[in-house]
Amino acid sequence: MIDKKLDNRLVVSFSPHIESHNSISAMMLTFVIALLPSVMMGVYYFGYKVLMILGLSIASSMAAEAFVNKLSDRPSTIGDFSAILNGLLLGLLMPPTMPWWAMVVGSSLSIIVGKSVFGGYGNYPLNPVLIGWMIIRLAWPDLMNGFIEPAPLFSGGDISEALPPLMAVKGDPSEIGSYDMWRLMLGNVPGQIGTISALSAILGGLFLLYRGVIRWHIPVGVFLGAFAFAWIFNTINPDTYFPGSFHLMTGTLLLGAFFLAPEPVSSPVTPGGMLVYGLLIGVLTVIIRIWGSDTDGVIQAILIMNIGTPLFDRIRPRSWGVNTGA
Amino acid sequence: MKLSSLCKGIRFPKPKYPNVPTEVVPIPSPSRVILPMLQHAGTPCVPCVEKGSQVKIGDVVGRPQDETGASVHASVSGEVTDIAQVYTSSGQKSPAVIISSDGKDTWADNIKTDAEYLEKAPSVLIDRIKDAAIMSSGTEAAPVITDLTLSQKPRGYHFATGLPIFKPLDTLVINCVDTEPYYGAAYRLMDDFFDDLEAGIRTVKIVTEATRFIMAVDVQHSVSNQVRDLTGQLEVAVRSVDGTRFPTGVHRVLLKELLDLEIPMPYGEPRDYGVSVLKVDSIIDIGRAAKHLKPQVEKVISVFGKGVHDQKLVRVRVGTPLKDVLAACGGLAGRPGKVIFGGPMMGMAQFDLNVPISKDTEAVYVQTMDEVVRSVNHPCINCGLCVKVCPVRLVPSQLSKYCENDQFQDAAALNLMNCIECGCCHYVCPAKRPMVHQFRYGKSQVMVRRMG
Ligand code: SF4
Ligand code: SF4
Repeated sequence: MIDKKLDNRLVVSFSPHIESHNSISAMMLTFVIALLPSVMMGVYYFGYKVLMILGLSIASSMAAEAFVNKLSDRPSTIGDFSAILNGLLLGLLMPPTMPWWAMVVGSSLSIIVGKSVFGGYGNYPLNPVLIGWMIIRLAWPDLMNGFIEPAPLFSGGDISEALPPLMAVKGDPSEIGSYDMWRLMLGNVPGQIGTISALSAILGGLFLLYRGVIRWHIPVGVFLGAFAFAWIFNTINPDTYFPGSFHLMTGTLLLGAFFLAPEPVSSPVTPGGMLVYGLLIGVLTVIIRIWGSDTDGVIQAILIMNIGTPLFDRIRPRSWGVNTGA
Repeated sequence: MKLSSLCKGIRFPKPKYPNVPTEVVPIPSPSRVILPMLQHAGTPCVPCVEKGSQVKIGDVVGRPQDETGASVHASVSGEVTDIAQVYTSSGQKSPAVIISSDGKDTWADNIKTDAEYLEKAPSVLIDRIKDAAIMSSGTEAAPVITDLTLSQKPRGYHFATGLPIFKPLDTLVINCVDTEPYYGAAYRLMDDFFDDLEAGIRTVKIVTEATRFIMAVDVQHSVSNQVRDLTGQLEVAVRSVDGTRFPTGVHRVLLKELLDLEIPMPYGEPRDYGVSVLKVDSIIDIGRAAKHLKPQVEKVISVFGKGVHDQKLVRVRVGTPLKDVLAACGGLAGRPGKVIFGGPMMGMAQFDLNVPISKDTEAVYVQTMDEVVRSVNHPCINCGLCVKVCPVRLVPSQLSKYCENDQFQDAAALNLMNCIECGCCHYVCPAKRPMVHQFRYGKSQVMVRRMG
């Protein structure tokens, strides 16, 4: 029965009194799981060496996170998988010949400069993975171009240098004929570890959508923006400008649309904002690809749009009874 | 179904608690009732009995000071033992009349059944409803009579005479959806108190000018044949809404679902739009008041949660101390954590088990210590889930940042006051931000500034 002593020990707090099982670590873990197909395709085409790159990247991200936690005397945030995701994504954006020291420097700097100086997860304005990518890219531009011909596991092929599709066709537009859809889907092309296979990125993206970790607005915006913009120029002059489908399937675009652009912290929250943000990323990517010096452009486009996130968030849904004369 | 309502709110899983109650059981008449003079928003009533007076069920023990209140009636017969300060279920202090039951449960002499109630003039019936002091349950506790009368807010002024024009009441919605999923009470009431329900609907048809009557029922529960016949006979349209999606049962959200009516807070009221929403238990009480002249001295409440031994739908006297209700349900199970008036999403946690059941109590939800959640208040990670679920289409993440940093005017500019405090945003938030808490604080600050 109810005794007097227990009477005094009730917990009192505001509503709601239940919470969903959703948590930051669950979201991050879902991202990590959704990346596994891309990791597998990377390993299949570039060998076990990529596992070392990815492992190093993850380890240095976590070490940097632990170091900063210790330095700033905060509770450890190692367990929330965000550092693991950070390292994994950065590793997947690297060419398969990336030397270990550059990976360690880039990955730890991405955590320190991109995330921790702003106050940790939830506070940074720009996606730290992309900050890390930019650091390596600016410091050692040559390393970023160390692309090799894919050699499926157990085929025993030699390591020979090669150009990824976007670079190849920029030099010689007629090359486009050698990339059929199926090849791009599976990823039997030179490129960065995690971005070669369109199929694995799509699978991962669908998993994220299914789990409700990301919503359709940003990916659809990116695809629509990129496809429509590319389509306009392709219709004007098909010889110089590539079709939209080729833009969608190559480079970092799919991985970017599903994993980098919808990264929660640096992306908008409102449905309208997300859609516009996605559209602009898509358009800007194609602009960079057509007229820019870089052949991929997705990462630059996302970084630029990250800056605009607070502005996109001003596209709010209309709340009840507002501007209806009531 | 309209697209705008498709992705709002939260869909709850089927009740996972064992043995969901299916029948209403009366609990033994309590030996002592506590009747706070403040059971509504507004000024408290004034006790009109003295220590030592003998009262019977239905005798008035407290009289209202103005229109916002309604009388308080004795809910047991016996002797007034004390008039003291107590805490009410909403955490306020209020004077209360405490009555010791004599165990006889005799009704006051003026309580008698009037079989010809339907022939009475509307004003007579209105007086009966007024005297019965029925409080609307749902979000705001106010006398139901205000829901049956005209809006106080003029729509405009007559061009020649300058007299205010009020929007007439044209639609009356009977809300048979539980305010929160898992209550399971609303649809049982329809059958268990069928006669009173019939009397209630007939009465409101007489006393209001409304021409359209809608009964909103939960798709989860099938409407029994007798209710179907009754609604057909009385020309009440039965509309199904998805009650598993919280907060469909909240009046304002229900109106959005049914009539696509968006009523802003805090100055908008359904009545300003010619619509009134009454919970099914209020209709039943109206029926009792009109036919039997009985005041509201009973409530059917749902006692549920892992922290209580037997989950029950109990019929209790208003003023029964919480611990008597829990004792009738087998007492607390496990290590008690929270005892909540209301449900898991919008309820009020209580600190004292002597708090009485009040007229707007709909449920008691008991959590064990293991179930108690502790908010961590991590910085917002901009995931946007809260924006997705907010039923009134706010941007809770932004509001919460404003409230956290004392930027209340900025928050008010983003319609903070529109928030219905449903708790969906906190529920889904991966960062577990205590947003409802922040919004309540923010709203109070905005109100203070607007007034001062
Ligand atoms: S902001 Fe208010 S109305 Fe919107 S989900 Fe949160 S508590 Fe509910
Ligand atoms: S659900 Fe929580 S973390 Fe996500 S945007 Fe809203 S407040 Fe921020």
